[in-house]
Amino acid sequence: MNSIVSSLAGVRLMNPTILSSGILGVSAASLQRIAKSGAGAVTTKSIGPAKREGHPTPVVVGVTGGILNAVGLSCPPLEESLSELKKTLKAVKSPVIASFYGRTIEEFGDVAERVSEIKPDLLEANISCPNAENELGKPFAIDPESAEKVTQEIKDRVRIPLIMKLSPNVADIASIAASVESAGADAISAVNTVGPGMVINIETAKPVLSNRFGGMSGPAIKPIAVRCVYQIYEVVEIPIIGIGGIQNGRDAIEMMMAGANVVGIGTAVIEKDINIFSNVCNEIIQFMDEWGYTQLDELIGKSHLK
Amino acid sequence: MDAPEIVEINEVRDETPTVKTFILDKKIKAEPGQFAMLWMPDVAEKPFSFSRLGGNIEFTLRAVGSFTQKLFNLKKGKVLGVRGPYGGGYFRIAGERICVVAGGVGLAPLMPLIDRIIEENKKVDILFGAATEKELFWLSELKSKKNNVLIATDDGTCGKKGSVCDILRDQVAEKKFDQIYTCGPELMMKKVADLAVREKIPCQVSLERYMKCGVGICGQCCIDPAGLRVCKDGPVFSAKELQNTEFGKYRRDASGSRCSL
Repeated sequence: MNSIVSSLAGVRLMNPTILSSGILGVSAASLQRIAKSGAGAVTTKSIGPAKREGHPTPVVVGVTGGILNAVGLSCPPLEESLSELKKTLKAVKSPVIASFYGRTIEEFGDVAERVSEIKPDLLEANISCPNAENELGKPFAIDPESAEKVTQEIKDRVRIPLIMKLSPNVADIASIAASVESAGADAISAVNTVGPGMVINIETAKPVLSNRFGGMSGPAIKPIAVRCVYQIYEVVEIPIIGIGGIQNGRDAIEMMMAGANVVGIGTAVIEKDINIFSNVCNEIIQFMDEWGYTQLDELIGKSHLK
Repeated sequence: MDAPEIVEINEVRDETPTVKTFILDKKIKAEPGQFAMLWMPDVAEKPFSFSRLGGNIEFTLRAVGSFTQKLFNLKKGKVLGVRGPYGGGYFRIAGERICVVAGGVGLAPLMPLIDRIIEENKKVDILFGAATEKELFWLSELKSKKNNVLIATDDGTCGKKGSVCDILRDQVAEKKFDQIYTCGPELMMKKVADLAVREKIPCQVSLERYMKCGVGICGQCCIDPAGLRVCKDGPVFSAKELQNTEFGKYRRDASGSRCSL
């Protein structure tokens, strides 16, 4: 009998599927529903230092192979986010990953400290949102030095295992992964949305998204995500959450063979709805049965030449 | 998921001083209670239920915020972006003795349902409430179908003075309804839903929440405590599902912060 029990930075997951940040993560109620529907862990929408409405609508637009989004890091006032997180921890039996962001390196540390007081199972620093550049500047994930500094700052201030979420929109993701690992990161999420991209409506000659540009997600970005995870796996020891275009068990296994310990799922909820988590798990088990695998460990990184 | 499709406005009709109907150059196969996201370039994109199906789609809106106010300036020949139809929970026809309870522009999403009830030759009582006589619309059309139409206005300028819920209470005491449908201000719908649950009459409620994606992933419109998504699991829910939830109490704004109704 095979097993899909997973572990991530010392936290045990009943299965390797994780609800990615920014998807159905506004409220405790929604996260509880996703956890009950079969996700191995759930990630909150990124908690920020102050109330933000995000960008005006439209913030999402469909494109071939996925969607572009520029929600723009909307979040309630910090105190309210923390009380919702408290409710989430009470309601959700599976591990909860608290995603968060700050506007400066110091603020990443401040928010991390406040969030860690609520004791989520894991923290995920969103240093790679591509949609708030006008207000927040370039994401910290775009160069190894700032990625390392922000990781260091957070690690100096909190004890809960820390995941750094990286951007695919860089020349050398491996060097950034190596730098966050050296600064003490406990895991890496790879990747955030790709691009950003843009859609112009030709009848009106207007960009559709109010932010004009938006990060791309969905099946079309999977090859990019798989390549990023593959490159990261070559240079780090810490576990990787592989995210990008996963729609079924085969996609999840491909991501694990690239080097992911567990996988994040988000955009696929549009097409497959919320039972995607249990469907992906069943498909993984079926594949393992068919091909004689008994543990997920046997799959992880299997595509790398040894 | 689709990008918005650009559609021309064929006609704009004034219904009341604050309500207009926009008839678009597009037909969509949709169910009563389903909605579309309407995009006004350079302004915003917001969800609106269809007020007419079958022929060209129509949206009947009340000017309440900056979006609808700007929309009201659009004339025939201008364009809007449309994506949809959305909504996995819509009005489902059930029972023989049907009661529809509308508050103000809440009549709009109920109209495709009323059309369909009439097509199926079922009897429908329509209870319609508004602030004042001038805000009532489609009365002759509603009455021409020989439905029982009862009116309430807050100021008593037409029909019974008071809330449409008072009429519902009297009607429920007199008649035996198999199904109640409601759309209107949330506190009104809450009263209707509570009465229906108390009287053990199945009731379908069309809910409104701040929406961003419309396709069930952003989580902005989820209802506490079950996490039901208004865009994907709704917008129409049974009154029973909404018992002991945030319905009638609070909602979330664009930031995700709670605000009481």
